[in-house]
Amino acid sequence: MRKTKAMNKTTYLLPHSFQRIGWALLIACPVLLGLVLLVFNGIKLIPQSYSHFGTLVLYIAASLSALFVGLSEEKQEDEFIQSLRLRSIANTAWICFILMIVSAMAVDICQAFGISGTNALRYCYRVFDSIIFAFFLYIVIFRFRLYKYRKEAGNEE
Amino acid sequence: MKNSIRVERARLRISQQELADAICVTRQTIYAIENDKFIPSTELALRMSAYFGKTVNDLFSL
Repeated sequence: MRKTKAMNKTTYLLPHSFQRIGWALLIACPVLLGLVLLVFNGIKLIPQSYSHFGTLVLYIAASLSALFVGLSEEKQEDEFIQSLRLRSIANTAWICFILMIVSAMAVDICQAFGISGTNALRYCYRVFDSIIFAFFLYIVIFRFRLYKYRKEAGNEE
Repeated sequence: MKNSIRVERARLRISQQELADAICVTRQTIYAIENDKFIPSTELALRMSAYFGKTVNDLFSL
C-alpha cells in the first residue's frame, strides 16, 4: 500500500539518521564530563582556562543529544508511535511540574526553619527547572513505552 | 471500541507483521489495536477495511 500525504505528517521531527548522531553524542558526554572533572580536580591534563570551554561544550553536546534523540523519527514512524510521544510528553510535563513545585517548596521550608541542605535542594530545583532534564525524562519515558510495546508485540504471533 | 482485526487476520492466516507491512504501520500498532490499547485514525481504519475487503463498521464497533 502506498504512503499517502496524510501518513507523512511528522514534519516537525528530524530524520531518523539524527537519532544515531544523538546517541553518539550522548555516549561522548560522559567522556567529556570525565575530562572536565579531571581539570576541575586539579589534574591538569589541559590548561584551566579551557575548563569553562569544556563545560560549555558538554552543555551543548548534552542539549544536542537530547534534541536529536528525542525529536527524531523512528525507523518506521506511524500514528501509534506519535500517540506514545504525546502521552510521554504529557507524563513528562506532569512529573517535571510536580518535582519543580515540591523542590521549590522544600527550599523555602528549609530556609524558613534553618534546616541544612538548602543548597542541594536549590540545585535540585534548578535541575528540575531545566528543559534538558525534561527532554531526558521524556526520552526515558518514551523509550520505555516503546520497549514495552515491542516486547509485548514480540510475544504474540 | 471493539474490533475484529484478530479474527480477520486469522481468517486470512497472516501474521501481525504481514498485516503491518501491508498497511505501512509498525507491528506494535497492530498489537495495540487488537488489544484495545489504541484506537486507529479514520485513515488507518479505512486502509484496514480496504485490505480485508470489509467495511469499517464490520471491523470496528462500539
